[in-house]
Amino acid sequence: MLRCVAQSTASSPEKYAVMGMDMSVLERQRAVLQRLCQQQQHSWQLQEAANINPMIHQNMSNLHPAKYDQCLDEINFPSFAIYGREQQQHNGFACPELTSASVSAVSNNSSLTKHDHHIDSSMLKREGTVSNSTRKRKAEFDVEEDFKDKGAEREAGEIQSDITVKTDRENSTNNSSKESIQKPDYIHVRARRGQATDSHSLAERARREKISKKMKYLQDLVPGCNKVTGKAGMLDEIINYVQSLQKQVEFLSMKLAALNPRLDFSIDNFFSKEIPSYIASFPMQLQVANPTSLQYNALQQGGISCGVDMGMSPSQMLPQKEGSSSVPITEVYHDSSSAHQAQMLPTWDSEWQNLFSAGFH
Amino acid sequence: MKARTGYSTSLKQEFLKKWIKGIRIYSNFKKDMNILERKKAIKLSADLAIASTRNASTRWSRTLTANISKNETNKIFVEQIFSDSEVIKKEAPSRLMARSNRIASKKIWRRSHITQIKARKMGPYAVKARSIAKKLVKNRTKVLKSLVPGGENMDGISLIKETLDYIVSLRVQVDVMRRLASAAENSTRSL
Repeated sequence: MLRCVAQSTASSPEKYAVMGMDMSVLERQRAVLQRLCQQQQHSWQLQEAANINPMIHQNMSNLHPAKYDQCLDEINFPSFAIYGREQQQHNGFACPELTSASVSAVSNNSSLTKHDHHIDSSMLKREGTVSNSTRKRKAEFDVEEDFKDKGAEREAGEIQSDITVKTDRENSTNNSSKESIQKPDYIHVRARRGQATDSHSLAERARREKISKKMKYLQDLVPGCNKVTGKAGMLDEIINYVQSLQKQVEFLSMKLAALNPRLDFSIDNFFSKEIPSYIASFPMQLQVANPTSLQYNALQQGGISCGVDMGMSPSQMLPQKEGSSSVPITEVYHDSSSAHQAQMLPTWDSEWQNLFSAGFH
Repeated sequence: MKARTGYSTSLKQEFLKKWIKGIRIYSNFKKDMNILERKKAIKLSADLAIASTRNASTRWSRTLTANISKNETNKIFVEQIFSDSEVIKKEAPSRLMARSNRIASKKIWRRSHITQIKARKMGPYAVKARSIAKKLVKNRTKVLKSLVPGGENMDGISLIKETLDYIVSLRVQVDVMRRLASAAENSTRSL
């Protein structure tokens, strides 16, 4: 910070001397601030000096008392320009808050009529010495608020223009024609060199760009699509992929039908031995102990079963459950099997949530 | 990346719930099904479940649900499942017909003119190559349209959008089904 302050002190007199240089952020901000100060001056010149002075004092009193006199001296002395350079070096290091406060105070107060311009310019000079980080602290003051709004607007405008420039750049290198309307719902397309510029072909080109963008998404989604280029090849891969997924659905539903003669996808089936293997098929780091604890929690909450009560007798259930704490499960199952299915649904939902929030992560 | 996996997880949970619910309702309807009927029930409820996760916001989900409800017996089943949720609508076919007619006539005009212009510009071989490529693409889009439910009357851009969404949902469906199948397999194996 010291280094950059020193640099800026060295260069700041030159900066003001040269106008029309390419504007760095600093200069732009300074220019805006200058404009703002002048605007505020015009508005404030109607007020009396007496009203303003106590305000300055108030502002100043918020600061470090030792600097207070110094600041007051700065403001009240009209012969500022001479004073300026030394102060720049001094204040840049010593009291950045002071400078910011004094800037705001000065800009608020415009009734120090004659020397306002001098003060402002020298204040701005001083501002130039302060590094960017301290400038950010000025956000608390009134001036900086307006200034920030303007900056934000400008940034937004710049971003918008960047976006339009980007879309333009996407579409060409050289340009021969361009739609000049800047409305946001228009798509800006630049015709390439030597290509037709009527609206049909432009619209065609826009449409083609859209399609190619979407195809890029598809490329990420479909495995093996990055090796193929061109629409036809990618479409081929996409078709193969969709067909394979649909066939997998068929196959899996057949498998499930074969495995479950009675279409009972009850959690009880999953809760005995195969929970570890079931959970292990999920890519995650849950301990094996957790599912069993989940199971017990679910039991205690009551009403576990989501199975279909298809005339499944208790004797049929028991042999399925081996090596686990199956007795309480079957008991709960019996109790709940007599309950209404509508009641089971909300508890069932929560149980599924529990299980699969663990399982699917 | 984290947001994306969270979204797909919730999608999987939602699909699983709806699917199991559908299977239960179906088996309450029809007891003692043979294996083919069971498979049909499973697949049907899976399709309905995955279509309902989109809440009728995409073309393919609407078409899928509509196709399933065409069958009378399924209709009751469908209505039972969705008694608490959205209404299933079908688009008016007449509007789509008019649109495809208009598109067809415009395409004929364009084809006749543009091939003339291009043949003058580029030379015959380039034109032929380009037309072959276009034909390939066209054939494949036709096949894709037949694969994606509801894809018939869509133009290229929306077809690709629908395909994207459809692929994502299919993957979720396959993933959940596969895990359920492996779990069921393990449970029967351990007995």
